[in-house]
Amino acid sequence: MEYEIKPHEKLSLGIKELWQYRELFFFFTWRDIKVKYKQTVLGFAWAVLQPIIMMFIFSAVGQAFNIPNEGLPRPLFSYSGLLLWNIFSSGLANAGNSMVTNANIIKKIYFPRLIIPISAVLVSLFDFVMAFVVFIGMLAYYLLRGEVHINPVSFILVLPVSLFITAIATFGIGSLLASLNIKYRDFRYVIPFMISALLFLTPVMYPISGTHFVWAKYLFALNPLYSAIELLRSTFSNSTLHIYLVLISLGSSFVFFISGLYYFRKTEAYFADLA
Amino acid sequence: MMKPILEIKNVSKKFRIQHNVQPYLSLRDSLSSVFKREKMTSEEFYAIKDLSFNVEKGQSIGIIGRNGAGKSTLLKILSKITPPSAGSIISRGNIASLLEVGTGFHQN
Repeated sequence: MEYEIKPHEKLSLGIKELWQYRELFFFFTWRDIKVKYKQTVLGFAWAVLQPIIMMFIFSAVGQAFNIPNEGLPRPLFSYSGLLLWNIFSSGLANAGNSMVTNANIIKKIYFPRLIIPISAVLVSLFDFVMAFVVFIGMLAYYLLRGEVHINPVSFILVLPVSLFITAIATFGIGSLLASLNIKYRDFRYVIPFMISALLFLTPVMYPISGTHFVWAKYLFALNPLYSAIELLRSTFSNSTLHIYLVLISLGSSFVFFISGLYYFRKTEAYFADLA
Repeated sequence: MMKPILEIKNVSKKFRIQHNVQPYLSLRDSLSSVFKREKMTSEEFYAIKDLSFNVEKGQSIGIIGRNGAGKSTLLKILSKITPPSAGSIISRGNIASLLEVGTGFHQN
């Protein structure tokens, strides 16, 4: 095997190299999952418990203030939003801090740096799988009671699309923050603040159709999670899908993905010097 | 005659040392330096300058030098942890590096 080490100049995706190191994805992800639930009494149950507790709070608040819910049972409405929101929030927090927490490895061995933020997002997808089992149970319960109608074909088709949008948006913003975080540690404080602020700008607790202002809807659509949540909900609610808004949101998630990837690849060579 | 397994050609590694600032970067400093006219003095420092040598197959090599002579920096470049500022290295083989003690330990 012959290769050359040169000054950092060309910008490539490095897919081939990522594939060579594919085993490392598994080990980083598995390590993070294990560490996350180490020394906890409830263990993996936390992945399910968190969205369920939030669901109760959101449903109660929604009921108390009579927030519109697109004709869906309140728990189902908020849980479907929380499912995807939790991928985003935990993925962003993990990915954003991942380069700093793994600084010790970065400084000592070489591997494609992209593996770190990607596996941080994979960890939150693992949590999603746990929470999704509960979601299926809830869906079945409401189906049997005849309170919702689901189009199974579109549900199975749309679910991966929603997940994909959420994952690339999380990865994009997460890797952008990760590379900024290693240079400017200020971003350590920006990330949790950003996550809690964004929750109010994401249609988790309320539907976007609740507002009468058209400009507000377009503003909401800039949020990548809007399309992911709205697409998923549309398969079992009667609400009409605003195709323009969904497209804007889709576009924004791709913009975040590309800009995050670009900035990360551009700066990754110097992580070891900065960390 | 076999090709050398490691060819190091004119490798340099440059660091910038900035004066009058904290030893870490902060967003505030970066932002304020945009507005401030006074230039932050920075000095270029070569950890490695124009280094060339070859390693043949079967050779064992020791690199010696004082603190800060650039030994570890050279090894970091060789193991691709940090890129060189100039020059190139051709490697024919695998590099297994073990820099510093404690590689792979996790805080938990």
